[in-house]
Amino acid sequence: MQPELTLSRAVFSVPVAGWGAEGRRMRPSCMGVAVLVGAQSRQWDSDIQLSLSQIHLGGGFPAVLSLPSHWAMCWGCWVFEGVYNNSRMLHFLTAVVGSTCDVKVKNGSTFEGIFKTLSSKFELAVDAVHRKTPDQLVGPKREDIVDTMVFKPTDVMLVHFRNVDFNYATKDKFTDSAIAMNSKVNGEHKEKVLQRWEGGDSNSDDYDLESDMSNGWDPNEMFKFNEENYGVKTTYDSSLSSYTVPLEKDNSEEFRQREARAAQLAREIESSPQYRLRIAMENDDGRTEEEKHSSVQRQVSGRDSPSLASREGKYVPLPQRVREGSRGGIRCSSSRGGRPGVGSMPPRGSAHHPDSNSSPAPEQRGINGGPSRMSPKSQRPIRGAKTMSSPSSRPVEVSAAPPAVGRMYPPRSPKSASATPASSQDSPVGSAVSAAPASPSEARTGLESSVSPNPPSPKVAAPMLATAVEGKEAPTSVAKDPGRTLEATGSCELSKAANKAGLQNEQKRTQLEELRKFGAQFKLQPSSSPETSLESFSARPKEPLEGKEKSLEPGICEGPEEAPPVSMVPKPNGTSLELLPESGKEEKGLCEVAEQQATNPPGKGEPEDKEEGPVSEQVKKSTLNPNAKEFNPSKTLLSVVSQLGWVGGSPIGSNSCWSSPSLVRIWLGPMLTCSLCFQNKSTSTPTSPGPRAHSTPSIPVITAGQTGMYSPQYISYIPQIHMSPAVQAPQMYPYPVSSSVPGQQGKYRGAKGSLPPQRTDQHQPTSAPPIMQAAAAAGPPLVAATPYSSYISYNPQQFTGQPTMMQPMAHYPSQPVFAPMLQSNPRMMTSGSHPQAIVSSSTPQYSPSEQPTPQTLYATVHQSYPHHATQLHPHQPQPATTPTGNQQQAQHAAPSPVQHQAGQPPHLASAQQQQNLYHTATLTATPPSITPGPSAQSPQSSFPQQAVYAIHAHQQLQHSYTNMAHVTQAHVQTGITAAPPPHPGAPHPPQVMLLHPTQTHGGPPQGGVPQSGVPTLSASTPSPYTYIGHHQGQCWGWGDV
Amino acid sequence: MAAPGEYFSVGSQVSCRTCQEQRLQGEVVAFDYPSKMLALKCPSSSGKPNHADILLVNLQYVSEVEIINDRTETPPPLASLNVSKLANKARTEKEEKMSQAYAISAGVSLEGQQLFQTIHKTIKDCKWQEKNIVVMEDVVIAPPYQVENCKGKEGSALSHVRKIVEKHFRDVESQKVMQGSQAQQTQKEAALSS
Repeated sequence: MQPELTLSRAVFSVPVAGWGAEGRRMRPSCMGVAVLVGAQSRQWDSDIQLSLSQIHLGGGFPAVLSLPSHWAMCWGCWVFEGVYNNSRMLHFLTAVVGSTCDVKVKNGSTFEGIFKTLSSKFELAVDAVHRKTPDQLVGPKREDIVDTMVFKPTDVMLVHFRNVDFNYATKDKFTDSAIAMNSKVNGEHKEKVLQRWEGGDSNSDDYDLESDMSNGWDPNEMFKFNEENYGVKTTYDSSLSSYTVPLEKDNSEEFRQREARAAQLAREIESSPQYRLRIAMENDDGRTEEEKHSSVQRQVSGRDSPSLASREGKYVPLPQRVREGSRGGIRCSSSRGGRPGVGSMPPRGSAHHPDSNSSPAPEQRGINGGPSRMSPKSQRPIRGAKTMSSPSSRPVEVSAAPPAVGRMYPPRSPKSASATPASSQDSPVGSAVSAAPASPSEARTGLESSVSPNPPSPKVAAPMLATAVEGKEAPTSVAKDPGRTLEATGSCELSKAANKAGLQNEQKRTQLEELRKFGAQFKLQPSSSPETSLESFSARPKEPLEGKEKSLEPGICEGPEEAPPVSMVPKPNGTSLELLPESGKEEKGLCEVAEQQATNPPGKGEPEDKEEGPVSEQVKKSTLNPNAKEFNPSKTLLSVVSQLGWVGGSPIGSNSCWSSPSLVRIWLGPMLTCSLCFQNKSTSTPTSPGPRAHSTPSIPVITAGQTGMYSPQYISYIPQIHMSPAVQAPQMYPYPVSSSVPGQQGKYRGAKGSLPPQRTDQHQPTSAPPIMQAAAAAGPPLVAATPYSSYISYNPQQFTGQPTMMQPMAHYPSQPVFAPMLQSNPRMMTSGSHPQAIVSSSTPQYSPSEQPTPQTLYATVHQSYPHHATQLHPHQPQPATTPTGNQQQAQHAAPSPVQHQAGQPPHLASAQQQQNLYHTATLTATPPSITPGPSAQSPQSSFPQQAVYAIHAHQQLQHSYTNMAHVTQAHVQTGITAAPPPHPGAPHPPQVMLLHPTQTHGGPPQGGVPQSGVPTLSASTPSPYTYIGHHQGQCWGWGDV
Repeated sequence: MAAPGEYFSVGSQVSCRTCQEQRLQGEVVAFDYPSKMLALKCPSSSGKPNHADILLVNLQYVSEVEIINDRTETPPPLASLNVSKLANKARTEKEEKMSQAYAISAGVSLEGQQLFQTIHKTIKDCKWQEKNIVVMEDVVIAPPYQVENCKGKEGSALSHVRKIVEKHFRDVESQKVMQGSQAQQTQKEAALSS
């Protein structure tokens, strides 16, 4: 076709000339026009006339004028006329353009000229034409030459084109062959004589690229070489005295002041989020393009090593984080041997590793945003906390609360892990572990922290910290680490620190006070555990949400989310780190806990961030409120509202959010981070209370059973949940109702004022979708402190989950949620940094820390998912889905439905799988049965809580309706699960049951079902169920989510 | 054989006689039935191997068409043509002819015209200044355009131009001989054919 086209064009050009009357002179420019017009055939005429004013159209010119539009149409159609349809003729007559031709007309005379073009009617246009005379030896004179002549075909007898080079117009000078041909010299083509390259001996094979570590020449060597060989002496002065003026140090007061001022400014600038963000962008956290975008996942050599985490972080771009999240889970599972749950989960070490791993993973995630750094920190703290916490928490958990705590924490840890998920990747187990471990670690940390709080509660069931623990711990931690936390947070948030620090401190104090109150109330606080569970759930939901957000809105969501999380993480890290260093490991754990709490307060502070003072107060109130039961009457409504409020600040907002999950998600993106932070905070706080109170007993078992990292985490999670269920069941209701949430919400709203609402709104959006809900839940929890927040989160989650993803989603999400929870815990840890997180969301200051945190969170989330998965066997399978689902809200909906459909069965299956995993894990780790037992209890408790939550959700939101079915199913399942106490089966069923319950929770069943279901569960599955319960709890969380 | 609807198969050798009793022979490259235009390709009149002459014959004025041998092979695909390149060629050819015409109008001798063309092939920067050929604004060749007429600043440019001029006249001499022989050959052929 090309030839034809070109020909046609060429031909077209002819017409231009041809159109002129015969013998008319046309300017060369006509040709170009003709070419353009060519396609137009006749219509072109007008165009040509219009376009070419210089063209002289002869009288014989066919007066075919067409509209420009016509022209265009023709152009597109390529309608050819006459000879233009003869491609071959066109080709050759085009090829002879520019050649000298002799035109012999019928009268016998011959004209010589330069052939220019032809028309579709075969009219030939010839330039510079002169009549040839037989005996003319001399060239034509100027006066003999006609500029252009057009010969009608009917007048032409013969046209002789002389010496035509057909390659002239077809030669291309841009191909290799053409270039090679151009190498001809004077028409002679000489092949280049190839010369052999003499590399010399120095370039032989013995040259080792690896051995030469030097990076080129040392400058001094160069100088020396030039001086010796060329006599050139360098004038280089390292002091650059030619360009700079040395600073004269003065000892005067003024100088000192200036110096101090400069240092202060430098600190302010360097501590500013914007600065960090930009520096991070510039330095890219030391990540290379390959690291950022390579799909190759490098396992961290050291699970705990920050570097590993950082690496992983590096490798996990935000967009990829989501994937990685799923992948991470997979990895963990694979590495662990199968699903993360079993492999990774079981081993305690793995759990620890997970922590570290998880931390790495989070770090990785964080790395994207700059998490690597954060992650390391977080990891370290986490590790320390984990290690410390794990022991302490385990013991404590063993006591009973541990499971709950552990579970609770696991979520947190997942979050934290997610925050510092890198480690998960590092070790397969770790990955699973990381998720789970992270969660465990986090949980542990959380446990530590929470443990410090929770453990105490469990231990003491609360020894000191136990009841007061949560509250106290938080306070204690705060008190202990107020400075630290403040410092840490402050250091992290520096800029914010100043303001936030105070606020945080206040918040922390308030939180501590609240925690103390909680502690006091804790005994009753099964509800708190529910809250925690809720929180965890919310966290989970958040995670899913995050994931969804990521998936849905990778760019936006990820960006915002990551950023905020990062900020959060950093703070947490910082806090955790600081705490760790200062306090013993356990202390660290406590400190972490405290920090978490502190962070939690900050998380509360997040809302508070906007209005720290109010927030803190609100938090306090919220905590108080939950316990106080002030809101009990309006619990459902309040809880719902609170949930909503948490999520969106206002019910309406939440509703709206639900209505537009996707949008909300987007919005949430940033918000989520906040919400996450909140969740974390809330989770941490809630967990600690819940787990402590309830989980303490159950937890021990679970922990013991799980022994593995997972177990602790799970336990931690479960514990909280369990705690809440068992004890809370009744209390839970009150709690939810009283739900500090409402109070908190109110506080939030009120105290926070506009700010909280915004956050809530954001959260709501996030919560709106599962994630959003989660976020919302998270958000509220933070504010609410723990129980409340958890409740709230639950409700929101449930609501959101119900509306958006459904219970199935919730289930799956729940696992993710757990992970988130875990993460959230870390975040909670960072909660101290919450303000930062908040700030980050609101401001850039957090950017550095935020970035890390978000990433970590994400990472942790992912990891957490795996962890959760590992923890929850069913979940594990689900987690994978959930993560993805979470990542993609849409997916969630779809996947979750499927999962839901498979719902219980899948859950069962998954549960079985999980059980298997658990078994393996448990086996590996310790006594699976034990873990189940505790977990079961915890789950049960969680169920109740969940149920409560569900109720709340129901009350609160209609969304729960969808969940209702699920809930019912869940209930059924739960009932079933409850029936099967056997550890293996029991756990599985329980899990399934739990999941269903969770769903149910989301659903309407709440009231009756939850209660009955919960009790049964708890009763039937004290030990094994615990796991199930945990799972369920998680499921619930998912459902909530 | 020509495909259905075609009267000449591309690649076949065709011989025809015009109404003016001119014998034409060449290879069919294209045929346009509506205009009865037949395009034939025949050896280049200049004898260059990679060049060819194209005859566009209006069969309306042909009395006799004979297909010497038919070609069954499908013609090679048409190569894409660089139209702009061709257009530039047409423009430059025309300008060249016009400038030459100006020179001729000025009364330049045939030798001078030929020399100018020869120099122009090598050195584009040459123009007529009255009857003098100015090469590269540096060397002036005045009639009768012999080597000794090349004047200018001593240097590579002058020596180079002189070489070209010298070679030109040497080639002209040899070409005259060839043309004479060719003319004789053509005459013989014409006699034979007739």
